[in-house]
Amino acid sequence: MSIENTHRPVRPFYWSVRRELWEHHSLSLAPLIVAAVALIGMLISVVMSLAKSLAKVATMEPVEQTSLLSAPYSAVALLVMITSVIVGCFYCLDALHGERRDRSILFWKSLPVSDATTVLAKASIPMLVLPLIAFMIITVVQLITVFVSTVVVLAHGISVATLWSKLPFMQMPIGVFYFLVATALWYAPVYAWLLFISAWAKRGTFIWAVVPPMALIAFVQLVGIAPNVGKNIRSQLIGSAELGFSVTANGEMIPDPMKFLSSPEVWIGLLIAAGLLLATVRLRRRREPF
Amino acid sequence: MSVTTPVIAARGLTKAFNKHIAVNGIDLNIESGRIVGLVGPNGAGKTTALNSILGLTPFQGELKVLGRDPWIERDLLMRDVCFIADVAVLPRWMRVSQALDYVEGVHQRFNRTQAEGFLAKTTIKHNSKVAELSKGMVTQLHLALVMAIDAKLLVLDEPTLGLDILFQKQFYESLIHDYYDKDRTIIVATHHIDEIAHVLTDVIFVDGGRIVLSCSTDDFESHFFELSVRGEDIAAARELNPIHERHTFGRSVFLFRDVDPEKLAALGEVRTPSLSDVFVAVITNQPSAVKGAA
Repeated sequence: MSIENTHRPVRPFYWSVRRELWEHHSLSLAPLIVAAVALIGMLISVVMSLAKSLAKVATMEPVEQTSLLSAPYSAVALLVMITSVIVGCFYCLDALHGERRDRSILFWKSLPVSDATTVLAKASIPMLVLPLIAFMIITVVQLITVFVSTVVVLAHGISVATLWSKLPFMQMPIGVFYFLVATALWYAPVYAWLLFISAWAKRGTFIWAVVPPMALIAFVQLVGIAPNVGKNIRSQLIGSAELGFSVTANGEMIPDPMKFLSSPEVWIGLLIAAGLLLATVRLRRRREPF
Repeated sequence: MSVTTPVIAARGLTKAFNKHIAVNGIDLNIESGRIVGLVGPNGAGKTTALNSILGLTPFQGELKVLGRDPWIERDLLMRDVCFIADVAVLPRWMRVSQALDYVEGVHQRFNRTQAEGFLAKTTIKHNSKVAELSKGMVTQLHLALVMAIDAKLLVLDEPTLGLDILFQKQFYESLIHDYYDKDRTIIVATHHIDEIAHVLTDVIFVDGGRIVLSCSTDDFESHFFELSVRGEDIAAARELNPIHERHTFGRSVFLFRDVDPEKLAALGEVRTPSLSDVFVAVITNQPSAVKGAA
């Protein structure tokens, strides 16, 4: 009889996520590079022209002041987010294809990790890990910018209050966080579709991922069910911004979780995502290298 | 686990791909503590049979591995079963230290200290990537990972394919010396039988998706004989229904199955044949499939 091992806790999900990060350095690297470039740009503009803008701001309406001063912060957040969505899409398209291509699926399957754990760990990369990485990067970049701005303002002998009162400090991290969560939920069916294709297709994952939706759109357009396809695609892409926020009378976008969560589109999307992930788990079970 | 509970029990195990039948109604009973050689030509159905056993492919028929249905419960089964599919399956981007971290993180029965001990005997460095290792080193790494898992069944499918003879020898030596014990079962699929003949307790020959011979290596010696004959005795030897005949240097070498060795000794020199000679004889005698001798 073999000696029963002391039951050391094992964490298959945690380590499955860790291993994805080991394999795909670009998951954190790409948003970091974009953020670094954006940060350099912001710092140059702060040093060169912040003092001038602040002088000009004095003559503006309060709303205009805030939007002028906080615009660069939103721009950086948006850039990093778009990057991480793109990285997430490419990651998904390769996630279950690469392991068959390099035959490593036989190694992963030789360990006591279920197909459901594997697929959920891979799905959590674009839906959980990437938004978290993006949030941290955005927050750090914004904090650095605030710090440098403060130094520049002080150096010019202008009151710091003029700057600080115009920056929506609290709203910034909360707004970014909310937008990231909403975007992850909004894009869930896209990520799930790409994961499904990566488990299903033998080759040409990109073609398979793109052509059927395109064909469907073309069909819908020709039949005339939904004539305004261009507008529909646009609202698909920015759905989390459109449905997740309300625009106030003075043109400010404020988070509106109630509006977002009561939109049927969000729930239909999540349902589709769940169905696709279930199908992906089943597919992965019968997948072998090719 | 008691000795009588089979590690693998299959009844009519069948696997068909479209019209091609890769595994055709195999019955199998493998008990704990055996080292089984699964031998067959390319396309005989070895890998397909093993894939069914490992839960990598759905199948028809009855199959229980350690009492579980492998297709339904692969992840649970892998707590007690290890396999090395072939030398190329470790992910190339992975570092040796990451492989240790990962297996330790997901496998309850993995003993990291032991794995590091095995690795210390090799020239593999912990910060190397799999891509930087030679084929032989990758196999050593995989074997170190697998041998540090306290499993009940180890399945190896052509584990030394493409390795030089030195690594081949080392591979089986460390497997037998550092890993094998009475509570463990090892199945090795290969078409290089003589390379592993000395360590096996059982052999199973497969061809065309069927088992054509299944016996223990002890039984093997009492069932198969090789007779080397000269001149007029050749005709007499043929009378005794040899299963195979070949000619070398003016001699005829006959292979007999279940023939009284006393009778054979009267005609010439009797020896125990090599596994590969019997394999060739049995396979070329197909499709008149020989029933299991064990």
